[in-house]
Amino acid sequence: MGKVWSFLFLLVPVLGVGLFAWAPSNGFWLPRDISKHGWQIDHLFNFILVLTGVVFAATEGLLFWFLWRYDAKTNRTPVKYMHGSHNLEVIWTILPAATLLFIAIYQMNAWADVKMRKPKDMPPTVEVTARQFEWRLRYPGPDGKLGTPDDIHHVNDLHIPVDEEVLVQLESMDVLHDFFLPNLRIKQDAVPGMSIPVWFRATDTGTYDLVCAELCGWGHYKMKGRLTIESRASFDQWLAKMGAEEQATQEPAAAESEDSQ
Amino acid sequence: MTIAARSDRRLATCALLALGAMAIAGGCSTQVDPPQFRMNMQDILQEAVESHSPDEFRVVGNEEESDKEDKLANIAKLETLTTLTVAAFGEPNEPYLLPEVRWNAEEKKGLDFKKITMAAGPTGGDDAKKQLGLFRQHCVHCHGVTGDGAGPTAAFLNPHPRDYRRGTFKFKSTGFNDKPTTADLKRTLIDGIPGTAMPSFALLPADQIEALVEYVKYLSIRGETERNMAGALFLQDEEIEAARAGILEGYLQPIVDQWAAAEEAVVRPTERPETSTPEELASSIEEGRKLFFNKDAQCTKCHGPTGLGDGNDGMAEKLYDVWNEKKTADDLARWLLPKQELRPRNLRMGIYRGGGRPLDIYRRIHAGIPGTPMPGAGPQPGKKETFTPEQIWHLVDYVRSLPYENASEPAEGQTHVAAAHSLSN
Repeated sequence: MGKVWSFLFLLVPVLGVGLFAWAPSNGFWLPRDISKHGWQIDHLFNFILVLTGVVFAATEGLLFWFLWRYDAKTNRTPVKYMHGSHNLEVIWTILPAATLLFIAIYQMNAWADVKMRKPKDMPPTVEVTARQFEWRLRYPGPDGKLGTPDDIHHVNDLHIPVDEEVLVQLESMDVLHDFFLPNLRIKQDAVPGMSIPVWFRATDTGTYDLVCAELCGWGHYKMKGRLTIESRASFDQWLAKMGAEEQATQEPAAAESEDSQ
Repeated sequence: MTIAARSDRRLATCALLALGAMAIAGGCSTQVDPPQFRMNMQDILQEAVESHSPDEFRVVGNEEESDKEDKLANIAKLETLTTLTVAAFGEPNEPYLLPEVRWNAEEKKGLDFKKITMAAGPTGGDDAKKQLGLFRQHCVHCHGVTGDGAGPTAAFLNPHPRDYRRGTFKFKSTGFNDKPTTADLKRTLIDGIPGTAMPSFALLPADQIEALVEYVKYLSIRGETERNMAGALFLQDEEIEAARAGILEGYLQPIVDQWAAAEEAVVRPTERPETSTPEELASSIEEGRKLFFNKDAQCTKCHGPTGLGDGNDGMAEKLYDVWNEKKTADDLARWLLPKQELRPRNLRMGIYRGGGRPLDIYRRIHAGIPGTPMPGAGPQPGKKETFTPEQIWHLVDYVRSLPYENASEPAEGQTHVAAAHSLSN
């Protein structure tokens, strides 16, 4: 019976590694990366995944081997106790410590790119204010400055231009939220009372998800927005249209026809 | 074979049996429910109206001192009310509409039953993967099953969610006493109401938004009809006859007509005075400032001289909206939602619940905000206008300049010009 159980334990690393080998080609993997810096995040993810994967497979393999080798039915030698091995202790302390230190140094550049090397002399492209349970957006108007009467307000429908640096000013009106753009490999907590800069450069156009990644209350699941990445020309056009709508002094023609339907 | 191994096998058999039982039970529950048939609601309604004599609608005794018999009579009345309401509208979960209330393309009035059924009932999809039960999915936890604004999460919110049953809506394009238009409700759903817990539903597909708007109208009409009928149950003698004219003519049709009429009652402001240059805008803002402090307008009485919404602070008389003002201590002991004081809007926040377009603010000032002490400055039925359209436009410019003006140095012409410059740049 014992040897059967040891095979059951062997299933864990086999299935675990197999799942990760199967997933990427079957649509269960990271969302498509459309950012300039994203490769660094993905590279770190893959690097750490392989590293922990090897350790995981080795540990589980060792567990299997011990179960197999020292099965009570076949192994009649009495158990011998030992106090410990100084050499082993040194090895399994220094090895993980060195690995962790290496990862800490290895990821520093990626961290600095995402969190510290803020684009210089650049006004925010948009101010995103998270609140329960929506994303309030404020774009600078034609004067390029936030906090002036020509600001353009919008909600949940975030538009940004492609192929240029985008600077988001992230704030929260009530509790902790998290501004998560999976395709842009951006994830930043929004903290009440703080204005946190977030920057990135998108490399492809399209419509993507903007979600809240910090449990913020009962409506957290529905705190979803839409990210539209478009060319500078159509972004400007969209912004101008929004700006004009916000200054409307008469009912726009489209709404009129809806009124009379 | 050891004992341990045998008990292992027995355990496995039990587990298999249990799994099998679960599978069978699961299989049974996926069976199609037997078809359900509705009763003829019109017949029930007719019967209910005919079988009750006028006397039944008379209030029995004084509510305070009534003895047990009187109380029972009043309970019977409320049961009648429930019967009538359900007969005319069905339950919110399973709506029904009288043929006269359904959408009439010729007269452009009534409710679209198809849209209502899309929003009602349990959440889920139909065979064509169409999303159903939208109200339960998105709205019910705040606005409540009947649209009473007292859902489970309502008590945590300030302001409380809207109670549709009064048929009173604050933010709309129509006059003070009019219903909102379909487009108004759609706008509220899409933009949300900044400054309140009402979020934006901008990303919902257009057909779902329309279904929800229609359902809100249904709940509002249902609630208002029920409310008016409830009032009639305790009417004085001479009013009873009118009340007995029937649900349809007496209560329902007028409300449906009001909703239809709203589409024609949209406030369309006159052309805004020219404000394209900074100087023109600055002088318009200055005009608006004078009007803001005008005695007739009484803006400062609530909004305060600096527009901070503190005009009523420290006053003995508190402000309430109609959803709150009538709540007595006795009511509060029974009601779920506490009494909420109304705070006049702080005009320097730049947060506009009914929308921040000049058009929206014009309509707020013109028509006022129903259900609140905010009066309309434009002409109302039976009331002379406080301001001309041109003056309202000046006020709009002033109000819109407030978030960008330094509150500690108000009324400096230079400030307005600076603000105006940044607007025209």
